[in-house]
Amino acid sequence: MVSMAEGKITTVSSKLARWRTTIQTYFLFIWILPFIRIHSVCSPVFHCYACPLAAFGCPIGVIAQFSALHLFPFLAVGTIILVGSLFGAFVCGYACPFGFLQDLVGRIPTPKFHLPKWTGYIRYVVLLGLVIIVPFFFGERHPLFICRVCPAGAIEAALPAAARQAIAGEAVSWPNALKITILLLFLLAMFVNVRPWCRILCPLGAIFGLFNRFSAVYMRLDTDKCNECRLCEKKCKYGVIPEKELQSANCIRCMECADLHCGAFVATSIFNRKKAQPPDPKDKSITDEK
Amino acid sequence: MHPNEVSPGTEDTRASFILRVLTASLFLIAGIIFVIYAAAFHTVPVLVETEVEVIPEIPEIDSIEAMRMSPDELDEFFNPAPVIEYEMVKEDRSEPVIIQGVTVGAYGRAAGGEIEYLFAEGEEVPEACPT
Repeated sequence: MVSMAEGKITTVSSKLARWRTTIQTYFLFIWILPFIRIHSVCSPVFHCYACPLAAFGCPIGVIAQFSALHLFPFLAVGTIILVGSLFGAFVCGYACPFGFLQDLVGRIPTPKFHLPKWTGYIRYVVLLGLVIIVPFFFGERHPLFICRVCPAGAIEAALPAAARQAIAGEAVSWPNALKITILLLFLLAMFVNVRPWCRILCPLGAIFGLFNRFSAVYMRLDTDKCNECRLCEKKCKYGVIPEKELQSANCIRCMECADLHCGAFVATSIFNRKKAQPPDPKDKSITDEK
Repeated sequence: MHPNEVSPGTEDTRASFILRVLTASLFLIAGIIFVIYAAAFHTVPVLVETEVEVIPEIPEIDSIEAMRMSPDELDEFFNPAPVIEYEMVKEDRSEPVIIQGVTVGAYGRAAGGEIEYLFAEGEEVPEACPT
């Protein structure tokens, strides 16, 4: 449904953008089920399986471990392809718990600086290098094996484990120096940048970003509604120019651009070919794309 | 750029829409096939250290030495108690089982390239991944 208030169009897409934090919270409770550990199944999000609350396996960790064993991870790859072909990077924007953590920290009002676009390609280097090549040739004991440097593992698994050991009076097994350094750099980066992990290093986000061009659910620009104000460009925190590169692999589908006064950006799907009609100001309830 | 000008990546023309439907469907089908294959059919041969009861071979004994033994000693000599030995047995394990294992670092590659379960059968595996 579409409604207009104070010149701002409210669409299903803009509502989704406003409810993003709530949706992320709901998803968080799916990934962290305290008494359920189904680690034989991969989730489609970046969440370390060594986390005491992790309900499912991390697909990137599983791919890396399988690469070290010289096996093809059909389940992890299948899960990523299945979810990616349906939702693309919407998973990053709405379901990923590690992205959610960065979003929450990113709300702290500290000066944020912009990253050049090319930094997004580093994610593919991480994917090929640390997730596939290093494990394949050097095994999981190599210091650059993805899980050994992953800040998600450090925050979600190593720190809780160290805290538990300290509380229990056991000898604390600290993560290695490289992991602690990366963790500290990452914690610092979260304050000066929006979603630094997702934008520069996340191998899973790199894959889902590629699916933005093919996914069943996607973003569409209604050029008739676009008045070239470039507000979308200014509002995008991820350095994407929505008007020109809406299917960019760097877009995490936060849909902030859908929550603008123009209503030119809408989330749609291959199941809905109907083009959005410009809302009639007299009509208070016009059906919009769903 | 003029608002009505179609730019790469934003257009929703019929051709681009059909291309998206086709690619999304192809990937979706591929994903479903991968998941079903992994969950139901894909197995991996794994070397597992298994407890095996082995009856030791009876050493040769000459008749004079045997005559010196008591009946109990003779019985023990000719019916030795089985010895528990650990042997690497090849076992087919499904992919979900392998995934569960790799999340706690329970598998490694043996020198011969085979996948090896790093704990003995029945041995307690760690709660979390060692990395």
